[in-house]
Amino acid sequence: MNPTSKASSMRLLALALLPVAALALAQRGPALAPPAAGDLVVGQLAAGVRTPAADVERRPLEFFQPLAADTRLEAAPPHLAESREYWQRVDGDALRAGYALALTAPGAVVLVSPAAGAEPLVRSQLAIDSNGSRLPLDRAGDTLVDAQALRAAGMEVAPGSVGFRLRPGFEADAALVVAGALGDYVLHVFEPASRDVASARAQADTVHAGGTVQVQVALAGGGRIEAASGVLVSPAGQAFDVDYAAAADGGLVGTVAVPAGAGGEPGLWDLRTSVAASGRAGAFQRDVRIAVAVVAPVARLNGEVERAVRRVDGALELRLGIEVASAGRYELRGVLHGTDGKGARVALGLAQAAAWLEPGTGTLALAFPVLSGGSVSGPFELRDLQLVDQTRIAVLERRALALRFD
Amino acid sequence: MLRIIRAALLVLALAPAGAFANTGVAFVHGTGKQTNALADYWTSAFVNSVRQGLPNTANFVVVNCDFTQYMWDSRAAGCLAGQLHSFVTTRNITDLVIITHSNGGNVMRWILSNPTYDSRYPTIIQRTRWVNALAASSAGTPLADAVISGNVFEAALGWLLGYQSDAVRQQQVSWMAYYNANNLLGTSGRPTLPRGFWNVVGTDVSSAPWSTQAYCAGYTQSVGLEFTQNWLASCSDGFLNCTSQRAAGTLWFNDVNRTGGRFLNHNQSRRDCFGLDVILRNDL
Repeated sequence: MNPTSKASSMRLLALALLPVAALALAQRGPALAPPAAGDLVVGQLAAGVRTPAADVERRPLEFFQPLAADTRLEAAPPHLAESREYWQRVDGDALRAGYALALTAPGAVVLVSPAAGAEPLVRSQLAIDSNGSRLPLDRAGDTLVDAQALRAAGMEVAPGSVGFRLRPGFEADAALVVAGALGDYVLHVFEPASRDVASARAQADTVHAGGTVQVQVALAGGGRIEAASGVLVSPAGQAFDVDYAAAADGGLVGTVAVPAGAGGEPGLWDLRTSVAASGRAGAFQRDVRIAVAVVAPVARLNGEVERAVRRVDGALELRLGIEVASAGRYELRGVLHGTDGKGARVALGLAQAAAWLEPGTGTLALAFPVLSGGSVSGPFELRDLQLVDQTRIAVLERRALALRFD
Repeated sequence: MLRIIRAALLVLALAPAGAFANTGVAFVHGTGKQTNALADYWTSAFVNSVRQGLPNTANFVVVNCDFTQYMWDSRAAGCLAGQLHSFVTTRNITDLVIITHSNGGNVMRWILSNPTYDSRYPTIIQRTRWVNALAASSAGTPLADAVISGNVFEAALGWLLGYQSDAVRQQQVSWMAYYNANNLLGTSGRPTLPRGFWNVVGTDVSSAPWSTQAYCAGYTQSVGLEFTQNWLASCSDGFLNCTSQRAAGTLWFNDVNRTGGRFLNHNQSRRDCFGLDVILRNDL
């Protein structure tokens, strides 16, 4: 056991509950580094954003954890979503007559789910029309399963749903027939063996309210996109149409503006793109979805930085100014790097600090205890800096490199 | 051996326990609202077997919370924090091993990643030895996408196929990718978690009627999990890809490497199947 390290962390935690100890000669600076490509920076603040009634922690808290010297932080690009599947709302009339599945590969997995008010299904109702014959699912499909089995497995499908996997050989002209279908159903077709894959990636995973969400859509496998439509849906269910334009690489770029008053509710926004395409096997459909965060810009770093050494424990303290437009609990977190004896950049640790801030100017301080052992000196860098709105569970600002000092 | 060495380093760095540690174990369930997780989620046989590894077998808690909510919600992480904080303080637990299953790993990882969110979190973190994450849903699951897509809530339409919980929404693959990149620690390219997060990974599902493997923890569940594997990669436990189970923290073991070659499907990884309870007991 290293009593110095344990003692340091314990003192750090304890200090969170005491008035801020006097600083030894605080000095202004260093200057906040200019934002780089990929950083998330708040422009105009949004005032008057409703503060959720949630039971929010009011005590100021700080926390430090050391990191391995060779820690390499790498910002992940926005998630790339891929799809070999589609969903289609189909009414009972169309299912009783036979609904073409428009498959591109063998072994399609099909799930039919009754919408609210529709008749629940049992396996014996389903059949496949193919090559002029109507075959029961027992012959055309395998791995038949009902909602009870799927829900027991943890897949929360609608009651009355039926799923199956189509046996190879029927994919050319398969049509699903559901005897006795009444009402609306959602047909989900997933083709794990298909080479026709739609993909989507947002330009940025976080957008401030009033900004624009942009998504790149592509189709791999040789097919051609004939048409596309999509919506951006908020956690509360508000839907905004996406406009698509052809991209230079043969794909599409979708754009949708986010209202200035958006954000502030928990959860992510869902951007759904539906692609109508044509390929070797004929016409087919792909639906692909990505999630983005839409954030109310209720606070931002104001560029003020103070640096000091705390008397009580010798911790290096970086105090950053925060301009607050709407009251809430805000957190600052960042990773301090130093320089080892060989001149290499080494990680020291992750510091976090949070407090309730009222509208106006406030500060949050990241404290890095003096770490014994080794020889780490300047230049130091504060990296992976985040300003987080803990009240609304939102990342407001993100800077890969925030400060550099000796 | 590597796991033991890593554990020793963590003890040195953030030293919660000394020679007179008071060890306890907490069981944290997965998605769902539990009021009797001991009977309904884990079973008494499993919990009672695992806790035999404690010096004081009474030092255990089976958490009951509402994990149909987002992981940060007061009814999810708030509830979990309340029960863990109460457990460690009233019993003076200084060496807590937390066993999570599925989405319980995400809720626990919220606590570990956001110590300034709630004043109870630092105490819990400081007293935790490590987390044993059984079939963790760390990168979400395509099954969540499957049930949400086509059913996405729209204000004008409501839920087309019926209500889906926030927990299911959160476990969609693109959602967990966002939270891993922004709000949670422990995945590739991110700072490590302040405590070890050791993954037990289920790699397949056996549902053949003649296979004895298929019957532990219920044959019906095995049949459903065999079908759900269609949405998943070849390495999966029927609900989660292996890549999701390994996405955060460190691999402890793949099921077949410690169970005599038998798989732990997503339901079996929370039950006394194929010696899992003994492995967890000996880990205490």
